[in-house]
Amino acid sequence: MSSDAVSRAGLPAHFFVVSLSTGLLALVTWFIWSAPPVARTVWLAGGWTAGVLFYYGALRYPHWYWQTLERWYHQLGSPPHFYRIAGLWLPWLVIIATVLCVVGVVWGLAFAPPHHEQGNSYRIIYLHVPASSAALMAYVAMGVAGLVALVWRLKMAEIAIKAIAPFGAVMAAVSLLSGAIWGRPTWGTYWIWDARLTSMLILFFMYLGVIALQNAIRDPRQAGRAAALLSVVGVINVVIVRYSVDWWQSLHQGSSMSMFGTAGSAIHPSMLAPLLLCMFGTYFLFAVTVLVRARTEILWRERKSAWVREEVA
Amino acid sequence: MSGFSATLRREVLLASRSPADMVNPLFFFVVVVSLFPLAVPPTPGLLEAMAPGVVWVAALLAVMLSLDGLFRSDEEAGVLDQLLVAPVELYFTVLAKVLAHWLLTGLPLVLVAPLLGYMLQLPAEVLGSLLLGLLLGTPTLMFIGAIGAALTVGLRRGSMLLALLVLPLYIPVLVFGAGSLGRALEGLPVSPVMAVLGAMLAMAMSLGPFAVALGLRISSGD
Amino acid sequence: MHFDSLAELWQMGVHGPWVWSAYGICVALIALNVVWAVHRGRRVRRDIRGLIRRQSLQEKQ
Repeated sequence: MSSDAVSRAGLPAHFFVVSLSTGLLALVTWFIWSAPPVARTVWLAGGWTAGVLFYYGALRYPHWYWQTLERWYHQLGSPPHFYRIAGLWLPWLVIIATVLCVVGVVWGLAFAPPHHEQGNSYRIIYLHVPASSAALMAYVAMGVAGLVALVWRLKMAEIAIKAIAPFGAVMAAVSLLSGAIWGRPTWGTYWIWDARLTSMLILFFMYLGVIALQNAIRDPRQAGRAAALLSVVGVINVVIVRYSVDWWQSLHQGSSMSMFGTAGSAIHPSMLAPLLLCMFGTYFLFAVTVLVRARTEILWRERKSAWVREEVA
Repeated sequence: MSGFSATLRREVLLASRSPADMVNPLFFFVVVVSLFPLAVPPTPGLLEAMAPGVVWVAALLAVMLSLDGLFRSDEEAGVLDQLLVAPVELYFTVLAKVLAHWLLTGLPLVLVAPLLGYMLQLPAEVLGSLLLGLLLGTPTLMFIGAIGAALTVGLRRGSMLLALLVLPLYIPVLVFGAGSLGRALEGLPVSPVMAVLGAMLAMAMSLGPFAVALGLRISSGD
Repeated sequence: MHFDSLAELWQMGVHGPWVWSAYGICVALIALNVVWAVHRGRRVRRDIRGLIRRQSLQEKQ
């Protein structure tokens, strides 16, 4: 691969893209291994096919691959370009998010059959699971943005962290609240110190920490970089906390609240479909909220520049 | 590496001039642990069951309180900016600073802990686990907390913010530390848990100073 | 629809209060988050317009 783009982009960028994508594929495969067979099959078929095609394309057409990456890097890394492109995408994302969420929630509340053990209280799952996964993935996204902000000093990455944090905090809060209200009729208690809920509580505090740190520092660049470092350290902590709390819970032989039903049983497809809709709807909601906040932050940071004046007037 | 020993010597010298800073965390530790027997009913066995959590949380809070002053006096004196442009690698300076801070404020906590454990009616055979656990855990807490201290140095009300930032990062050490003592109380072997604590210490001591150095650079507006 | 009537949907067997309070609070939180983000966007735009106005006034003087 001796194209100009490769030598310009530099070896670190190459390693970053390849290792990040491989790492993501491996990580999601590992997590999805404990999910029901439907999710597993969908991921293996779709996700890994896409991954293989990506690597094949990168090896076979390196010039095109690097040019595209570089174009994305410059477009997304430059605030005016990001603002414009995000503005184009927003209406569509809003429509998709609304449709997915509304259809998913209505389906889950009214049309899905009741659970054989839990009756109708299980319907809170259509809030709890999407919120939990969104909260977790948002923190990982924040951590990746933090890494990019620290290594490549990209202003847009700092803005991304500022935009993601409030959404993640709200999702974590929703996960905790819905989990608590679900717990009361199902397991008799609002709160239980099990691995999943405790990890989510800690994640919530970590989000609050990132938000508080950014609000406490006056200079926006310093605030952005400080939040970036905290996010990177936090992502490492999320993984370690998950394992510590798992170990801690096994000590006390707490009850295993499996959201996918008792051990061995898989979630019924008629219950799974609205759940997938809600989950994807939440990811699009993530995109909408983050883009809206990012655009606002860009306008404020670049308020002295000419393009903002034209844009706002 | 000469910066390492120079910094170490300097920290010890500075601390010996104001011993109050060294004693405060120790005093806090002892007082907090002493409050618990007064606050809970004298049910037999209750204090012993609570002891791992009480000692570890108190030690954790004492360490966290001591961290606020880790960089503050240097930052006020302008020494921090000097350190950032010094020819010595900031990594080693930070390593020395945090280690010195632990020797001066953390090690006393560790040494006093068995006495407090005895006060909380812990049986004598688990006091060794208590000592070893805190010996491994307190430096880890220092290095992790130093990251938060570096990010919040120079901020008003930085100490409250430091608590919010650093406590979630402390949870793994707390879980395994108090868990090791709990296992010792049940008579189970503690070496696997100590190994995990040791691994955390190794990671915090080797990787932590990178993050602390980066935090210091960010806080001084590079 | 799985339920026979809207009344039954509201009741959710015996779990009505739980399900609806959960959905109520959580949807409200999410909606508030979105509304707040949009509101902040509008406020920032307004503030920047104010800044521009003040600056052009200063330049005229």
